[in-house]
Amino acid sequence: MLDETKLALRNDDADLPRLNDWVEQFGRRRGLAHDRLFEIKTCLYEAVANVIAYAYLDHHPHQIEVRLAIADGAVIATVEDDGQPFDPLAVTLRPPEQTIELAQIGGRGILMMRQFMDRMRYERRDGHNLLTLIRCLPEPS
Amino acid sequence: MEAIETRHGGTVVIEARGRLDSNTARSFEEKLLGAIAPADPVMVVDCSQLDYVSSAGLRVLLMAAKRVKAAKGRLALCGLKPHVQEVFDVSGFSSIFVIHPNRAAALAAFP
Repeated sequence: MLDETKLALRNDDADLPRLNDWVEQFGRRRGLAHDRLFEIKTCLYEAVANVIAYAYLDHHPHQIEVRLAIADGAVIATVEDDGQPFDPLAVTLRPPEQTIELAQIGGRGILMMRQFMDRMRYERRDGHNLLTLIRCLPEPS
Repeated sequence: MEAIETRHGGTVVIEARGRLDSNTARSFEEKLLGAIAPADPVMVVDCSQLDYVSSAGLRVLLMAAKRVKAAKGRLALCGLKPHVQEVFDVSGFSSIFVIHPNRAAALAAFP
Protein backbone atom coordinates (compact mmCIF):
# COMPACT_ATOMS: atom_id res chain seq x y z
CA MET A 1 0.00 0.00 0.00
CA LEU A 2 1.34 3.41 -0.94
CA ASP A 3 1.28 5.82 1.93
CA GLU A 4 2.40 9.14 0.46
CA THR A 5 2.57 12.66 1.76
CA LYS A 6 3.66 15.79 -0.10
CA LEU A 7 4.90 19.28 0.60
CA ALA A 8 5.20 22.30 -1.67
CA LEU A 9 8.14 24.63 -1.05
CA ARG A 10 9.23 27.91 -2.58
CA ASN A 11 12.70 28.25 -4.09
CA ASP A 12 13.88 30.18 -1.06
CA ASP A 13 16.29 29.09 1.67
CA ALA A 14 13.82 30.51 4.19
CA ASP A 15 11.53 27.56 3.36
CA LEU A 16 14.13 24.90 4.28
CA PRO A 17 13.20 24.77 7.98
CA ARG A 18 9.64 23.84 6.90
CA LEU A 19 11.09 20.92 4.95
CA ASN A 20 12.99 19.72 8.01
CA ASP A 21 9.92 19.96 10.25
CA TRP A 22 7.81 18.08 7.74
CA VAL A 23 10.34 15.24 7.31
CA GLU A 24 10.69 15.05 11.09
CA GLN A 25 6.91 14.70 11.49
CA PHE A 26 6.76 12.04 8.79
CA GLY A 27 9.50 10.07 10.52
CA ARG A 28 7.86 10.28 13.93
CA ARG A 29 4.44 9.29 12.60
CA ARG A 30 5.90 6.30 10.78
CA GLY A 31 8.14 5.37 13.69
CA LEU A 32 11.36 5.59 11.69
CA ALA A 33 14.56 4.93 13.61
CA HIS A 34 16.40 8.09 14.63
CA ASP A 35 19.46 7.41 12.44
CA ARG A 36 17.40 6.53 9.38
CA LEU A 37 15.37 9.71 9.80
CA PHE A 38 18.56 11.73 10.11
CA GLU A 39 19.89 10.32 6.83
CA ILE A 40 16.67 11.03 4.94
CA LYS A 41 16.33 14.50 6.41
CA THR A 42 19.93 15.32 5.54
CA CYS A 43 19.65 14.09 1.95
CA LEU A 44 16.35 15.83 1.25
CA TYR A 45 17.78 19.02 2.69
CA GLU A 46 20.81 18.75 0.40
CA ALA A 47 18.68 17.93 -2.64
CA VAL A 48 16.29 20.84 -2.12
CA ALA A 49 19.08 23.28 -1.15
CA ASN A 50 20.81 22.35 -4.44
CA VAL A 51 17.65 23.06 -6.43
CA ILE A 52 17.19 26.42 -4.70
CA ALA A 53 20.82 27.39 -5.29
CA TYR A 54 21.36 26.19 -8.86
CA ALA A 55 18.20 25.16 -10.71
CA TYR A 56 16.81 28.58 -11.57
CA LEU A 57 18.45 31.11 -13.81
CA ASP A 58 15.65 33.63 -13.37
CA HIS A 59 14.73 35.34 -10.13
CA HIS A 60 11.10 34.32 -10.20
CA PRO A 61 9.32 32.29 -7.55
CA HIS A 62 9.07 28.58 -8.32
CA GLN A 63 7.49 25.66 -6.59
CA ILE A 64 9.46 22.61 -5.52
CA GLU A 65 7.40 19.57 -4.62
CA VAL A 66 8.70 16.99 -2.19
CA ARG A 67 7.00 13.64 -1.65
CA LEU A 68 7.66 11.02 0.97
CA ALA A 69 6.32 7.49 1.01
CA ILE A 70 7.04 4.13 2.54
CA ALA A 71 6.71 1.29 0.05
CA ASP A 72 8.32 -2.12 -0.43
CA GLY A 73 10.30 -1.85 2.78
CA ALA A 74 11.91 1.45 1.89
CA VAL A 75 11.48 5.16 2.38
CA ILE A 76 11.06 6.78 -1.02
CA ALA A 77 11.63 10.51 -1.25
CA THR A 78 11.05 12.48 -4.45
CA VAL A 79 12.02 16.05 -5.26
CA GLU A 80 10.39 17.62 -8.31
CA ASP A 81 11.31 21.03 -9.71
CA ASP A 82 10.83 22.95 -12.95
CA GLY A 83 14.39 24.27 -13.08
CA GLN A 84 17.05 23.67 -15.70
CA PRO A 85 17.89 20.00 -16.29
CA PHE A 86 20.32 18.64 -13.71
CA ASP A 87 21.13 15.02 -13.01
CA PRO A 88 23.06 14.66 -9.74
CA LEU A 89 23.74 11.02 -10.59
CA ALA A 90 25.71 12.08 -13.65
CA VAL A 91 28.12 14.25 -11.67
CA THR A 92 31.59 12.74 -11.57
CA LEU A 93 33.02 13.13 -8.11
CA ARG A 94 36.75 12.89 -7.66
CA PRO A 95 38.12 10.33 -5.23
CA PRO A 96 38.38 11.70 -1.68
CA GLU A 97 41.27 14.09 -1.23
CA GLN A 98 43.90 13.67 1.42
CA THR A 99 44.81 17.32 1.99
CA ILE A 100 43.06 20.62 2.65
CA GLU A 101 44.93 22.19 -0.29
CA LEU A 102 43.60 19.65 -2.80
CA ALA A 103 40.09 19.34 -1.39
CA GLN A 104 37.36 20.65 -3.69
CA ILE A 105 34.88 23.03 -2.16
CA GLY A 106 31.78 21.82 -4.04
CA GLY A 107 30.01 18.51 -4.50
CA ARG A 108 29.71 17.52 -0.82
CA GLY A 109 25.91 17.47 -0.84
CA ILE A 110 25.82 15.02 -3.74
CA LEU A 111 28.44 12.90 -2.01
CA MET A 112 26.26 12.78 1.14
CA MET A 113 23.23 11.64 -0.88
CA ARG A 114 25.20 8.88 -2.56
CA GLN A 115 26.64 7.68 0.73
CA PHE A 116 23.48 7.82 2.83
CA MET A 117 20.96 6.51 0.30
CA ASP A 118 20.70 2.95 -1.03
CA ARG A 119 19.52 4.01 -4.47
CA MET A 120 18.90 7.19 -6.43
CA ARG A 121 17.01 7.77 -9.65
CA TYR A 122 16.82 10.78 -11.90
CA GLU A 123 14.36 11.53 -14.64
CA ARG A 124 13.59 14.56 -16.78
CA ARG A 125 9.85 14.57 -17.44
CA ASP A 126 7.65 17.29 -18.99
CA GLY A 127 10.21 20.00 -18.28
CA HIS A 128 10.67 18.88 -14.68
CA ASN A 129 13.54 17.28 -12.80
CA LEU A 130 12.49 14.27 -10.74
CA LEU A 131 15.03 13.03 -8.25
CA THR A 132 14.14 9.95 -6.23
CA LEU A 133 16.07 8.95 -3.13
CA ILE A 134 15.55 5.48 -1.70
CA ARG A 135 16.62 4.25 1.71
CA CYS A 136 15.80 0.68 2.66
CA LEU A 137 14.30 -0.04 6.06
CA PRO A 138 15.45 -2.97 8.15
CA GLU A 139 13.27 -6.13 7.96
CA PRO A 140 10.58 -6.06 10.66
CA SER A 141 11.64 -8.46 13.41
CA MET B 1 23.32 29.83 14.84
CA GLU B 2 25.87 31.67 16.91
CA ALA B 3 29.64 31.95 16.66
CA ILE B 4 31.42 32.96 19.83
CA GLU B 5 35.02 34.07 19.56
CA THR B 6 37.48 33.81 22.44
CA ARG B 7 41.26 33.85 22.73
CA HIS B 8 43.45 31.41 24.57
CA GLY B 9 47.02 32.68 24.40
CA GLY B 10 47.77 32.88 20.69
CA THR B 11 44.90 30.63 19.69
CA VAL B 12 41.56 31.96 18.45
CA VAL B 13 38.66 29.71 19.40
CA ILE B 14 35.39 30.00 17.51
CA GLU B 15 32.56 28.15 19.19
CA ALA B 16 29.86 27.30 16.65
CA ARG B 17 26.42 26.84 18.18
CA GLY B 18 23.18 25.61 16.62
CA ARG B 19 22.69 24.69 12.96
CA LEU B 20 25.25 25.49 10.29
CA ASP B 21 23.27 25.20 7.06
CA SER B 22 22.09 27.17 4.00
CA ASN B 23 20.31 29.68 6.23
CA THR B 24 23.24 30.38 8.52
CA ALA B 25 26.36 29.63 6.46
CA ARG B 26 26.80 33.19 5.19
CA SER B 27 26.92 34.89 8.59
CA PHE B 28 29.17 32.14 9.95
CA GLU B 29 31.47 32.54 6.95
CA GLU B 30 31.85 36.26 7.67
CA LYS B 31 32.62 35.60 11.30
CA LEU B 32 35.02 32.72 10.73
CA LEU B 33 36.95 34.19 7.82
CA GLY B 34 37.07 37.52 9.64
CA ALA B 35 38.74 35.86 12.62
CA ILE B 36 41.67 34.51 10.58
CA ALA B 37 44.83 36.48 11.37
CA PRO B 38 46.81 37.55 8.30
CA ALA B 39 49.96 35.68 9.34
CA ASP B 40 50.42 32.36 11.15
CA PRO B 41 46.81 32.07 12.35
CA VAL B 42 46.20 29.41 14.98
CA MET B 43 42.53 28.50 15.30
CA VAL B 44 40.16 26.01 16.86
CA VAL B 45 36.55 25.64 15.79
CA ASP B 46 34.74 24.19 18.79
CA CYS B 47 31.77 22.17 17.49
CA SER B 48 30.58 20.82 20.84
CA GLN B 49 27.41 22.96 20.63
CA LEU B 50 26.94 22.47 16.89
CA ASP B 51 23.79 20.44 16.26
CA TYR B 52 23.91 20.10 12.50
CA VAL B 53 26.13 20.83 9.53
CA SER B 54 24.97 20.75 5.90
CA SER B 55 27.16 20.92 2.80
CA ALA B 56 26.81 24.71 2.91
CA GLY B 57 28.45 24.60 6.34
CA LEU B 58 31.16 22.20 5.21
CA ARG B 59 31.98 24.61 2.43
CA VAL B 60 32.64 27.42 4.93
CA LEU B 61 34.86 25.22 7.10
CA LEU B 62 36.89 24.12 4.08
CA MET B 63 37.27 27.68 2.83
CA ALA B 64 38.55 28.74 6.26
CA ALA B 65 40.95 25.79 6.40
CA LYS B 66 42.32 26.66 2.96
CA ARG B 67 42.86 30.29 3.99
CA VAL B 68 44.57 29.29 7.21
CA LYS B 69 46.84 26.92 5.27
CA ALA B 70 47.67 29.63 2.75
CA ALA B 71 48.63 31.94 5.63
CA LYS B 72 50.92 29.19 6.99
CA GLY B 73 48.74 28.76 10.03
CA ARG B 74 46.96 25.88 11.72
CA LEU B 75 43.30 25.06 12.21
CA ALA B 76 41.74 22.25 14.19
CA LEU B 77 38.18 21.25 15.00
CA CYS B 78 36.94 19.69 18.22
CA GLY B 79 33.94 18.23 19.98
CA LEU B 80 31.95 16.91 17.00
CA LYS B 81 28.55 15.51 17.98
CA PRO B 82 27.74 12.09 16.49
CA HIS B 83 25.59 13.35 13.59
CA VAL B 84 28.11 16.05 12.70
CA GLN B 85 30.85 13.43 12.81
CA GLU B 86 28.76 11.23 10.51
CA VAL B 87 28.40 14.03 7.95
CA PHE B 88 32.16 14.59 8.16
CA ASP B 89 32.77 10.87 7.58
CA VAL B 90 30.56 10.50 4.51
CA SER B 91 31.77 13.71 2.92
CA GLY B 92 35.45 12.86 3.33
CA PHE B 93 36.13 15.67 5.79
CA SER B 94 37.24 13.41 8.65
CA SER B 95 40.44 12.53 6.80
CA ILE B 96 41.47 16.06 5.84
CA PHE B 97 40.72 17.98 9.06
CA VAL B 98 42.55 17.73 12.35
CA ILE B 99 39.83 16.79 14.84
CA HIS B 100 40.20 16.61 18.62
CA PRO B 101 37.68 15.17 21.08
CA ASN B 102 37.32 18.44 23.02
CA ARG B 103 38.59 21.98 23.37
CA ALA B 104 41.18 21.16 26.03
CA ALA B 105 42.76 18.53 23.79
CA ALA B 106 42.72 20.90 20.81
CA LEU B 107 44.40 23.70 22.78
CA ALA B 108 46.96 21.31 24.27
CA ALA B 109 47.94 20.22 20.77
CA PHE B 110 48.94 23.79 19.86
CA PRO B 111 52.12 24.63 21.76
